[in-house]
Amino acid sequence: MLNLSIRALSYYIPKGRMTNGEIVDLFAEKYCRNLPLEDLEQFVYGSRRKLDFLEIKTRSCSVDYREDSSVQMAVKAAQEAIGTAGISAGEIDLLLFVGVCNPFREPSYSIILAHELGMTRGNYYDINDTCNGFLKALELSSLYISTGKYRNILVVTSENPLELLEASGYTGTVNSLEEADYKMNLLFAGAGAAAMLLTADNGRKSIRYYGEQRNHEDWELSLYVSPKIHMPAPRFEGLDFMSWADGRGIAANVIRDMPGFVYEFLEEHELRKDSMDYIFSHQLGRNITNSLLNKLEVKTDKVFPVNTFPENGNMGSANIPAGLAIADEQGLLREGDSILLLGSACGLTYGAAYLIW
Amino acid sequence: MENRISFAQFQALFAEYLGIEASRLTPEVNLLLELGIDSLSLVNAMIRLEREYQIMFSPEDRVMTRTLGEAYERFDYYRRTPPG
Repeated sequence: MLNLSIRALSYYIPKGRMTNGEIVDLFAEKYCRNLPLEDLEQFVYGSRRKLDFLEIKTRSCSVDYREDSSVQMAVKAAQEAIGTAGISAGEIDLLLFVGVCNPFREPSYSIILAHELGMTRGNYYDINDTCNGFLKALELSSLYISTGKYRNILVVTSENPLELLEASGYTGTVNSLEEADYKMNLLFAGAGAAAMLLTADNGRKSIRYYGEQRNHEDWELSLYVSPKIHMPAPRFEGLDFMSWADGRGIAANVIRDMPGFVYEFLEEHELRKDSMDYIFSHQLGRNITNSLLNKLEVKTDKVFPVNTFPENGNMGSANIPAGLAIADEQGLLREGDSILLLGSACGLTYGAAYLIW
Repeated sequence: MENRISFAQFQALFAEYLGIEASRLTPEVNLLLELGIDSLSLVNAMIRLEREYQIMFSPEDRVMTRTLGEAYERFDYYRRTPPG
């Protein structure tokens, strides 16, 4: 059982929005130069329609990186959480950065963030559990808090995939329509940041349980790597893209395996799905989310009242905390609401957390 | 415009697009939930249908969550309805 309360929760989503047409045209221009005209037309038409069918209309993005870079988004979210909690940066014992779109190898992102926030003491480091990072940080935080080592833990994420693509100079080419299917997963990605200040459980906004299941057999299903890095799998030799994903494989695995994990989690903690007020699934893509919720037989009124995917796309590890923060901001959550958070991450990892609002 | 496509013809098209036996594609079957068709394959089938038969489904149709019979009804509607 975890020993956590959410003392403050905040989010920041930049104001920019790219439509399906705009992102497809951008990708066509930057990556599909080698496609024959007929294939290029098929790519543009097929990609736009695919995005329409998968219920995404726009994805959030920065308008001006001088104001909304990944770090600035993180700072804004973190400062809001600190302010809401009524503490100073000097009272943070641990800062954890958990974003997937982390552009910093050295120094770590959290070091830069600690500097920007003006932390005068405390510890700070990054963890990488891909899109499950925020949920994983709950477990870590509870371990620290339960031992008394830390009292105030700030978990921050910031995802800005288009910033990374731009900074990379749009490295890579698509040489066939089949390749396009695997290299265009970032068409869904959106920008967003979130921060959560965690303390020992005080009976309010309590996070009670966390669970996870991992399987490295299918690690090849989704990649975010340095272009042309040597990969321990021959089929990726010379991969010139920093992002690659087998959408069908991911969907098939999640829909096949995640329900079993969820039921095990519920059984382990003597929880009943039908007694939950809300079930909130990571917004990997509406096709996967809808199929998963259907397979779990989640009734419509149990689906979390905030759906960030159509307007913002997949914001990675920010999906769940941003969704919670938006729901709280809109007054959609009542004290005592029981919420089951479901995370899925490439690797593959399934995570779940149960909280009482 | 070409002659109307019957349900049997629509069924055969989907069987070809999805690589499964037509006999499994009854009007009542839900492609995603009952046949285990992955959603991306279904999307590709719908995109192919659109291009070959000059129609365009609306996202509000939510064809992907419907039965094959309901998908056919929407397809037939768009075939009969002039664009614009």
